[in-house]
Amino acid sequence: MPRLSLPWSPSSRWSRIQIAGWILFAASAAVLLTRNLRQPPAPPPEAESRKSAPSQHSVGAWWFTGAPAPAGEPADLTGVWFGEPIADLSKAALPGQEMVLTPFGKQRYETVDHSKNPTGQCLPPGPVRIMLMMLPMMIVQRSDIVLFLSEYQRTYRMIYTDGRGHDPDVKDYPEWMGSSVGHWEKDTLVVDTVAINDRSWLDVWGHEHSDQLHLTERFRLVDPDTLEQLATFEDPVFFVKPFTIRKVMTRQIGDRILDSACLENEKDQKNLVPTFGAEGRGR
Amino acid sequence: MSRFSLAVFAALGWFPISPLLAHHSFTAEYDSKKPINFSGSVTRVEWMNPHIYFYVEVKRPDKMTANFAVEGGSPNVLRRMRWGKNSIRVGDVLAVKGFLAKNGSNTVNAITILLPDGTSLFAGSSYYESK
Repeated sequence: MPRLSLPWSPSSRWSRIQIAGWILFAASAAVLLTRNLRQPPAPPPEAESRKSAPSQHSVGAWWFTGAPAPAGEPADLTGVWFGEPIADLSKAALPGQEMVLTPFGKQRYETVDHSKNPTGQCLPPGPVRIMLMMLPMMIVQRSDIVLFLSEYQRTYRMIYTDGRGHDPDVKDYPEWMGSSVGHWEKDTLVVDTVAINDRSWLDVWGHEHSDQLHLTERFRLVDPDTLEQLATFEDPVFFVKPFTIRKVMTRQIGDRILDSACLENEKDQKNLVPTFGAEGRGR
Repeated sequence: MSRFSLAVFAALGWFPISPLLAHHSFTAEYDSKKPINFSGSVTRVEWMNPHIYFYVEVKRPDKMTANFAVEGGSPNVLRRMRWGKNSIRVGDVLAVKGFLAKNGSNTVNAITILLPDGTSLFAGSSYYESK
């Protein structure tokens, strides 16, 4: 009678080797399978993702010092800052500090042509609008100068804090960004700006100014991550009395200044039609 | 017009535009009385400052095609809303809600864009002061 030979019956030396082989095979297969199962699913390729990956920077980026200055000492404003954009300067005025237009100022505001908006032509925003934009700004501070480097058109303001005054001829040669000098009053940077080219607008709503505009700004860290700007406007041609606006900016940690070349893809100019006063604001 | 775009067309209804959606040059360039709502395939994308543009070819029932230049927001603002140059791609069939230019050209200011994967891209053109 022939013997029934089964692999699990260790009746011979040969079948014992076979069984050992099967066990080794099964064990390696199990290890390989479980290892593959434990691997997380592969992320979708970059091209498939419609949203961009978040920035990899974190606290500790070079512009973040994180060290508050002693009370009453000049603060370090160095950092990337951003605050809610302001479309209508008069809405940002402090209580009791409202903007009151002169008859001439009112007439200009009611007839301003929005198709002539200077930034629509990629001209510089001026020292006021640069602060109201929807784009962040980097401040780099030294003891003798403070630089406001805006992402908007990569424009900048230079504020000399080395004790100098305005050059005597600045008003004869007005600048798009004006002439700025500053000094520290305890923890507050006080900036004085004159000689501002009267072609710039003060806001997107079409408030204008004359070449007599005198801007006084006070910058202060409310806390290490909050920058407060109080800006006082004096311009007897356009405004009955000085008025002051407030803007608050928040430290942008992990953001960077992006490219912003206004003429690169400018296509609005050819479509603009003359649009005056209130008609050009809102819809 | 594909079945997809017809469905999108039907699904999009007009909603009142918030007064926040205001832009300096909006009324100098676009006509709030000329809302437009269309879908078609993207033929070109310009991810550049001061505004992104993309171009959409719309197939009409009479077999003719219409081409629209669609203006969106600033690429920098969109980037901070996590949109990027891959968000809109050539060949995408998408739906656009916006306003036509006053000068009669086929230029559109996009208010929202419905992407093929169903997500909505707020173009941000009219709200943000980007130029």
